Amino acid sequence: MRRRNRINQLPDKILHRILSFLTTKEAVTTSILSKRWIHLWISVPNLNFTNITIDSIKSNNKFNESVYSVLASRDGAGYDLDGFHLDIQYVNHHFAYRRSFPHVVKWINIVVRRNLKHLNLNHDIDEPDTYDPERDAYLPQLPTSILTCRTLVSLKLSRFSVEGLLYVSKVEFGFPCLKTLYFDTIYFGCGRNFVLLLCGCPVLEDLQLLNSCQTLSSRQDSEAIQMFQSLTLPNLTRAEIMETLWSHFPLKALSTVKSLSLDTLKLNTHDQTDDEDDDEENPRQRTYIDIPIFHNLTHLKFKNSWGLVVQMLHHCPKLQSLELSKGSRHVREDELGNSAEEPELVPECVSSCLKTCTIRDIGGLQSELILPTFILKNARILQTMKVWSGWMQKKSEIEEKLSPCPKASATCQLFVH
Amino acid sequence: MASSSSNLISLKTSDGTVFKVERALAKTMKTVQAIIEEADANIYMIPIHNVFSHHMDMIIDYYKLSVAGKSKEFSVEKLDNDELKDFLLAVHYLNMEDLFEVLTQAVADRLEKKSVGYVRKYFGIENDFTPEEYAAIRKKNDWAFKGDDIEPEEDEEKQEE
Repeated sequence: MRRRNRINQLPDKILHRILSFLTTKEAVTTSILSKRWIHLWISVPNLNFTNITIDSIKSNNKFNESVYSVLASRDGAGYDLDGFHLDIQYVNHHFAYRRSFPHVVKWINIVVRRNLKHLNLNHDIDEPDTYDPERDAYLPQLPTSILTCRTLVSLKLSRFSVEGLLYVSKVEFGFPCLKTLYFDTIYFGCGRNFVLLLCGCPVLEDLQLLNSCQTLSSRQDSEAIQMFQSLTLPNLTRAEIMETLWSHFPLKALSTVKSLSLDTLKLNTHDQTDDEDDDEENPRQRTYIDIPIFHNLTHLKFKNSWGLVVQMLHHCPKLQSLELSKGSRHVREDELGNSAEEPELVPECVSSCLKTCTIRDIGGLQSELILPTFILKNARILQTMKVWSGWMQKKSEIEEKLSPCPKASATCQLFVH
Repeated sequence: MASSSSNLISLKTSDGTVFKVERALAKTMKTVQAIIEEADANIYMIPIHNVFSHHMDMIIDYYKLSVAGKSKEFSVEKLDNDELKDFLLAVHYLNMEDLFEVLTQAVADRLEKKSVGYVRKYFGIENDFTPEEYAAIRKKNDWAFKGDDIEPEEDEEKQEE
């Protein structure tokens, strides 16, 4: 009996914390527990509408009603909002962009005015993408009110297009408090605007860019290119840039990271429209990148461009964990960019820091075994080497070739999958 | 200022057991830290009310795991609901932020998708609504109660509590 009374004394603050881990829908259901609980859920500082599926007019209306109802209750109390998280699965484009999004935009316009710190907008559509001639685009427009929300600490967006901002002043663009930026399938009509955005996030710690494509023209965007090239992100500790095609990407802006995932084949320093002819003659030139030294890098995940791997390793003095993969895209052998010989110089990290190494998609070509062999021969404190055979490649063949290889580390274990 | 010559702080739980903990661990307990900082002389032993020795055992487990970078391995699965609540209150009293977050998440996980009756019982909440008041609130937030992931309410029969 005494215990029960103690529990009732749980202060509102603890209850808020507990409720903040539930979705908003579940939190609202606590309103019928007792009189004390009627309004408790309202002051939970996060709104979380996730695992929502909209596949009919009824579900769309029901969902809209719920969000408006919640926002109205909170607005009445005048509370700030820490986080807003939407994750919706739509059955088709019509529901998404005609019936639902006009409301989504309204909600976003409301929440960004409440000193919002965390914004996470994710949606997916069961139908494959189709071009909508009425909107002249594949992706919905990003509500520009988000760009004015200066209190944001984390911003995670997927599937938007940022267009129609022809000229934006440098002062207004950017997030002075932003630590986390995740962009998945975000299209910037004007590449310059992305540069301005990124340059306006000086305290960024975690950057993820997936599936984006941006080009800057040397002729028209020279100022933006300069700004981009001189970008520094001194607090950056993690970066993941995959399935992303960028011209003029400043790799040195990532030089402070501890953990890096990179799809390097698609980053280059040449303006693609200018050098189209060169690309045909010098495919290797396309993958030239000015690599900075990554002083803090301990975990590296590299995709697509093994030709750069050794060069990269020379720039990561403290690397402990390395993962290489080719990805599903078919890579021409010369794009691997390596010769048939082993590298001459052993990178410092390989001989003294590397503890785990994973190499995926190894095929039957002799040249593909050079790298794992080289690492095994030179990595003195390597503990684990995992090798994954590629599609259509027999695991046993690779095992035969790699097992007898001399190992610099007595404790190293080789796994072939 | 309390003497910093010793690296161990003595904490006495409410069931009389004395734990000698590292200063670094004591620092994660803001309540204890405040007591240490306010004391003029050497503090020999700090009593921690509402904290039992089995709580301290788990706190030390968590501390050891988090120092080794394995805080994700800490689990309170073996605790029943009452034990978890007690532990939460103890950690709240000691004002330990990280562990508190872990425990509130654990409580939330246990409440997820449970019926109203279950939650009432869990928190020991008395239903102080009249049937009319109850119906009004239910109706107001009606949208939250529909859907296949909310279990039917068990308590509508037991409203004489």
